[in-house]
Amino acid sequence: MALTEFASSLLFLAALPAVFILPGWAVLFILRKHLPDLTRLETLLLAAPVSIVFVNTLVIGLDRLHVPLRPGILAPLLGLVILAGLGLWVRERGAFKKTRLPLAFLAIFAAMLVIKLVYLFPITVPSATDLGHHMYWVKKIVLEAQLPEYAEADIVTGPDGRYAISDPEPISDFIIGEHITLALLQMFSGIGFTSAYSLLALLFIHIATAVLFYALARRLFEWHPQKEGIALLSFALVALLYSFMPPQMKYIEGGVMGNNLSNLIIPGIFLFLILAVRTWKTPYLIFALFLAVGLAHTHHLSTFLFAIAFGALTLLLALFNRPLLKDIVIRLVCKRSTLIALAVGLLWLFVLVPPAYITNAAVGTVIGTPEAQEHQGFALSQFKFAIGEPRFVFGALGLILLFALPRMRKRDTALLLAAWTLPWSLIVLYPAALGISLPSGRVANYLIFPFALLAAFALSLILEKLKTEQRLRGGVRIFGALLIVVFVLHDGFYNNNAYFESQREDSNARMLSLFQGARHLESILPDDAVAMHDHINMLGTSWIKTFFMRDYNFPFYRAHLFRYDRATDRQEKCTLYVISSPNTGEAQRCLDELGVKAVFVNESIDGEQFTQFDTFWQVYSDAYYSIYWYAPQMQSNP
Amino acid sequence: MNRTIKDSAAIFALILLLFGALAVLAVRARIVSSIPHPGLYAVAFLHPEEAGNFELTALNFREPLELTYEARDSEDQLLASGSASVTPEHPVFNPLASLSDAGELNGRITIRIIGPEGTPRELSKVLP
Repeated sequence: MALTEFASSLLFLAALPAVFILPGWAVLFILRKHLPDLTRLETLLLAAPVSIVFVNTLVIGLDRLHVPLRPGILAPLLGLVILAGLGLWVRERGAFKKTRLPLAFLAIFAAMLVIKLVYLFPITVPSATDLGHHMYWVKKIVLEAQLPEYAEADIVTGPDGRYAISDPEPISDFIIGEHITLALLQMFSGIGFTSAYSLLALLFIHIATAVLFYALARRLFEWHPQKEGIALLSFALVALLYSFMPPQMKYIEGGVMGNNLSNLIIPGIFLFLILAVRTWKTPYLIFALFLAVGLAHTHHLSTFLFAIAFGALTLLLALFNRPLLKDIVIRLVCKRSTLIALAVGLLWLFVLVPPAYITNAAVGTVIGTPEAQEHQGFALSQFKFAIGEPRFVFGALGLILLFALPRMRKRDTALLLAAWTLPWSLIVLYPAALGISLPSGRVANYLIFPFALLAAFALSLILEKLKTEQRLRGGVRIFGALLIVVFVLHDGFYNNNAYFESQREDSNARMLSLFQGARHLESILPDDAVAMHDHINMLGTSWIKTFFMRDYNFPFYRAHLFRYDRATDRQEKCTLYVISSPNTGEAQRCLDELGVKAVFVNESIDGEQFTQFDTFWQVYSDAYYSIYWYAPQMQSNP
Repeated sequence: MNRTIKDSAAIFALILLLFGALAVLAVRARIVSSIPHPGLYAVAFLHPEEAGNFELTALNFREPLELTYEARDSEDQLLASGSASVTPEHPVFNPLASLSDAGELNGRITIRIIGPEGTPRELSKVLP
């Protein structure tokens, strides 16, 4: 029996914790005796990255064993883990450390929710191109009950000189960890693929990320008298300031799936690492390793950047605190349990289920002189803008203070934050000198997190100094503190406003029309026929393919014009000819040889070039879009 | 900053606030997508591939719609005009149904439909 829409929404809200929180929480609870230093809040917050990696690992393993990925199999398996955790929790509620939390923590959390709610409220119909691409693979997992082979067909010129559609060729753009959890949410709830569920899941991950920074800052600065203030400021700088910029709400709305998930997993790894070093207990290191292997199955860029930060951390330890490095190697790494976990992780990653970017040796594409415009690096002003001025200014100051103040630089906190910040900053600022070709803006977006931690440290020290410094007059101290607060808030919230205003007012209407048009096109298109659509003048067109599910590249689309000039990008030009100049000889060849039957376009911009020719009938029309039917039998009639 | 609460209470509040916010967004999303604005209705040929078949269907609407239409040939001669009341249960209508000499039509036949609001919709087929 089909689920009602209301029931599926309720089931979705129940499935969210069942996929994103409870499995990880249960795993941590089952292993609680090995993790006695975790607080209750840390357990809850670490449960999110552990859940995602656990669920991904479980599903990848089942798929490798050819077990069909159906809710009837996955729900009982996850349910068993969750029930085991809950059963133990009922018997032993006080397993993790209790703490008290400041009310300000809840106030920041509530303010964050309000800001994010206000942003998403007017645009609840998903419209992002990236999200549409991801949802194709999510739907494929659900429909086929197995993990997909990432491949796409394309328009090619055959040996006889005729246009044809190729067999699907492998693509390295996607990684399976990006799609499994969203597929499970849909399986368990039955919610519509084009509903807001993907946006809400991404929002959930983003919020979990922001709160995790509170826990991470608390641990990183637990030796500092202002640890609570630093943790709260870190949380506020991540959660409230520049709330709509990438990698925050823009990444939610934009459906930047892998990056969002990685932004949650990376601080989880660092929190486990810091716990391992502070307590000298290997289970924390094994959990860090588990998350790192999970990260590699989730997002290639994040994995590459994490590996660089980890390498830098080792180097900084060797330079500034060799005894600590020696201790880590002897007391944590050279332990049987760690070495076994490391061997299993490497076997899993490189032999059993290597991600496509490892098998395709895609890492080679990022080594070398950056050529693409967006890989050329940032000037300092762009860098400052990407991170947010107060975060950048106080973050840089925080890093300097951590290395300048007595006895600070040897601390694991200073070395970790320096390793997390410096190499990525160098990649953004001097990619050519390093010989690394990565999109500078994307890398800069990763830096807001460590910069927020550093800025919180510097701000806390400055505000504390202003509070206690008796040599300054009271008025000067208050004025100084106010000046800083106004600078931070003004810049951070002014920016929010700018992004909020840039939202498209008619995004929901356009997307609902697009879904309707795509649904209709799918219903009228014969199985052996081909369709094409525009991408330039239509919003969120990647969602169209989720109505067909024939191929990742079906229907074929006219891309942005510059892509046809790039030698390594759009090799075919049929989509350009057919949409831009449908009555030319080349377009007619494309239409006839490929078997194109329908074209889906924005009526007000691209409709006219079809209505003036008898070979095209306008067979569908809504507020924005039209479908034109190609009727070549009318060719003789001008 | 100095006032604190038990972590169990904070966690409870955290979960309540988060799921409250997600529920609000989920309800909002459901309302937006399940009750389309009347101006978002669409029209389409029921049989797009059949040249002489001008049966239409209205799509993407929940409440009954009053649609007025006019059909013109390639020389802009008015062939038929009228109105149709469509409901989700009965969305199909034929603007050329009253035309007695439909078999003699040729060239591009364009049907212009005006609904409750928004831009008019246009559909057309070309007869040999």
